[in-house]
Amino acid sequence: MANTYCVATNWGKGFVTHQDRNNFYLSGHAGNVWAVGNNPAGIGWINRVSGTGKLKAEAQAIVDGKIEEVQAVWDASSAENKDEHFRPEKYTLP
Amino acid sequence: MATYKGIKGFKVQSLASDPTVEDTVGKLWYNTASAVLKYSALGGGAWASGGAMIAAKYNMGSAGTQTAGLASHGNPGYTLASSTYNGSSWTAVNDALTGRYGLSGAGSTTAALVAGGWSPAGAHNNTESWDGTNWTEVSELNTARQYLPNNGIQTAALCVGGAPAASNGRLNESWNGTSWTEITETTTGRYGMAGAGVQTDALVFGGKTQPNATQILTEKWDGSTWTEVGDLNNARGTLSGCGTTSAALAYGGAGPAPVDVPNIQTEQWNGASWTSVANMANSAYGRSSIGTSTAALAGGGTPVSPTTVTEEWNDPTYAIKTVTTS
Repeated sequence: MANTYCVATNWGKGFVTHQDRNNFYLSGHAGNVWAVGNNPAGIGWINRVSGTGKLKAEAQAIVDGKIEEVQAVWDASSAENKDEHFRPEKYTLP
Repeated sequence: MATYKGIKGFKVQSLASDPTVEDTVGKLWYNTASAVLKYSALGGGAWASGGAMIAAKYNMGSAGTQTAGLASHGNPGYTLASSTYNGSSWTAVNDALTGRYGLSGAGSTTAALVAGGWSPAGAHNNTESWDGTNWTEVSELNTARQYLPNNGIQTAALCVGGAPAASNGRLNESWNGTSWTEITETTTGRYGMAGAGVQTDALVFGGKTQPNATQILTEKWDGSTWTEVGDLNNARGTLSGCGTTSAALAYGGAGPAPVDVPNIQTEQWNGASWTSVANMANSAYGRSSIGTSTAALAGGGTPVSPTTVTEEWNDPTYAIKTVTTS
């Protein structure tokens, strides 16, 4: 089943429970973007955390934008930093 | 003699709402609001959200358990900030003494040890001891290095491997509560490994032999000899780990090479082999290494930029299910 997408701020304990993880697919991404299994439990979680629904293209644009911000910082950083840390690469949301 | 329950059976409890999942283990009930029968089922391990860290950081020193964890030092900023976790939230405690990241850790929230690490001043051999209230500088490592795994307790620890791999990756130093002694080196030089176990019975796994060469190797230490044992399923470096030589957990990290993509994978070690289990919700490397194979704590890390996100691993977990008919 395809995923659905939302933006929600992780407030910490209770934001995602073990039961949530047993009931639907979930992965977190830059920009507070969440890919959520598209089933009743997943939709219920989005409502519970007051998530703002996004189309996949919208969610992907948010993630890409955040990665571009960090890429720019990395590009301007010292050679030492570049040796120690990798340059974040864009990827396709699941 | 026949009993009422024997003749009529047990009555299923009717509840207006589902009870807390932890209170339902092995129980069946009727949810009057949704008009369905429900039960609690035993599930595999899973990660859930924990309380957010006070400040985003990664590659910290860490020690303790899921309900009594310690995170110190780390990046960005080669921070001195330290905090403890009580199972729900992080609380700031007294600062450490020497700012750095990529340290080894050992012990508990009341008796911990961190060693090594890196800052703009270079690789560190500093060792700091935590008594539950304050940090104290104690005897230095023989060789300064960074990206080190966690093994042992405050009074009996190991410091294994470290960067650069070519010169320091096989080093193994043993802490007796007072000083470090160089002992038998590992088989393969690596940095950014994770560790599990204690001073005389330890495991190190993953890591890198070069910046773009993540590893699946696992080595077991019996107090005198290193033996290569079952490989991780997924190569990665700067991963996190905890547990013992018979029940360990590997999680997060970056890899595989050549692109150091932050990792969400979790693997469980049963004493002989690694098995892939439920993924984390958030990919990251440089998270805390705290807890056991059945109750772990992953604080911080850096997925794209440093984060305060904390995740808690529990195995097994319980889930409320609805009885369906077909």
